[in-house]
Amino acid sequence: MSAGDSAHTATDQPLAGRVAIVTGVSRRVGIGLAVARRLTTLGADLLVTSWTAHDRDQPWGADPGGMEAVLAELTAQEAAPDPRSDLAPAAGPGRRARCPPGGGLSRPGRA
Amino acid sequence: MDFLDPDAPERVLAAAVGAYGHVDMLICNHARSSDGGLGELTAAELDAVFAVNARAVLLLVQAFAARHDGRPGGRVVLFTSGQQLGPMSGELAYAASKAALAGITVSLADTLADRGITVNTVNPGPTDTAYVDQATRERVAKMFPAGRWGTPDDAARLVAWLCTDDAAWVTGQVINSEGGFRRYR
Repeated sequence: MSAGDSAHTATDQPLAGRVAIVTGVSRRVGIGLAVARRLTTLGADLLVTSWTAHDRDQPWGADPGGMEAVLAELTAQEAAPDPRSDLAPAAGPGRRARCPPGGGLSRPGRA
Repeated sequence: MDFLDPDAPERVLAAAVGAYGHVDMLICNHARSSDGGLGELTAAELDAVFAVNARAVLLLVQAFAARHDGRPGGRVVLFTSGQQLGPMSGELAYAASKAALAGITVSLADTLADRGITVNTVNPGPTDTAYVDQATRERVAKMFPAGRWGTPDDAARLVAWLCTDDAAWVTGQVINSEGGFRRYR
């Protein structure tokens, strides 16, 4: 990496190389996913947790697309405009992993 | 990850460190929703709400602090609600559990300050995450000067900023980000 690349990263990806845990990333319309999307856009690596059983018990229900649809928002190969927001791109350069309900496993991978 | 399980916080931190080798930021966004006013409370539901919303968060912070290796940029962000700004009489268990997080923020911030870890708590205000019916959605929208609910990204921008080095001097704060929500109108 050249000095120019470093400067670029510091400006556009201030969280590159940093690892964030975001809990409660269970629905595409939720705050948790919005936070995860912002952090990965800033370059952070993510570990997200979810518990869809709670959503299923609530009037709003679980995400109709399931967790795959939620996680897909963080793994898109190209940043695309989010139809629900004029501010947030749909994905960023950080890696992501999901902490499954049983814990102990992880699936890190370059987004 | 079911945060009713007392071992879940430890497993989450172990998974993060296992995946990436270290951990810098902990964003405790999860919550158990719970409606109910006086006359509707049960010991079982109070225990469950406190376990998920307060106990698990404190255990997550503890597990995070145990694994954080002291590098610059340590961040903890918690979420509270508007219970300190106006009554939430129909969600007593939820409001009590969220008050615990607002109330403990200063103590956690002081505990971790010497290690350069900031601890802040965000009240995002009413946020449109598709949890109310259309009539409620329209009624509450009129209580905001902007005529709309908060969006998830309204909260996310603040959280993301708190995670950057620009926010290194901000700790122990409960930040109300509600777009001027007029809860008494």
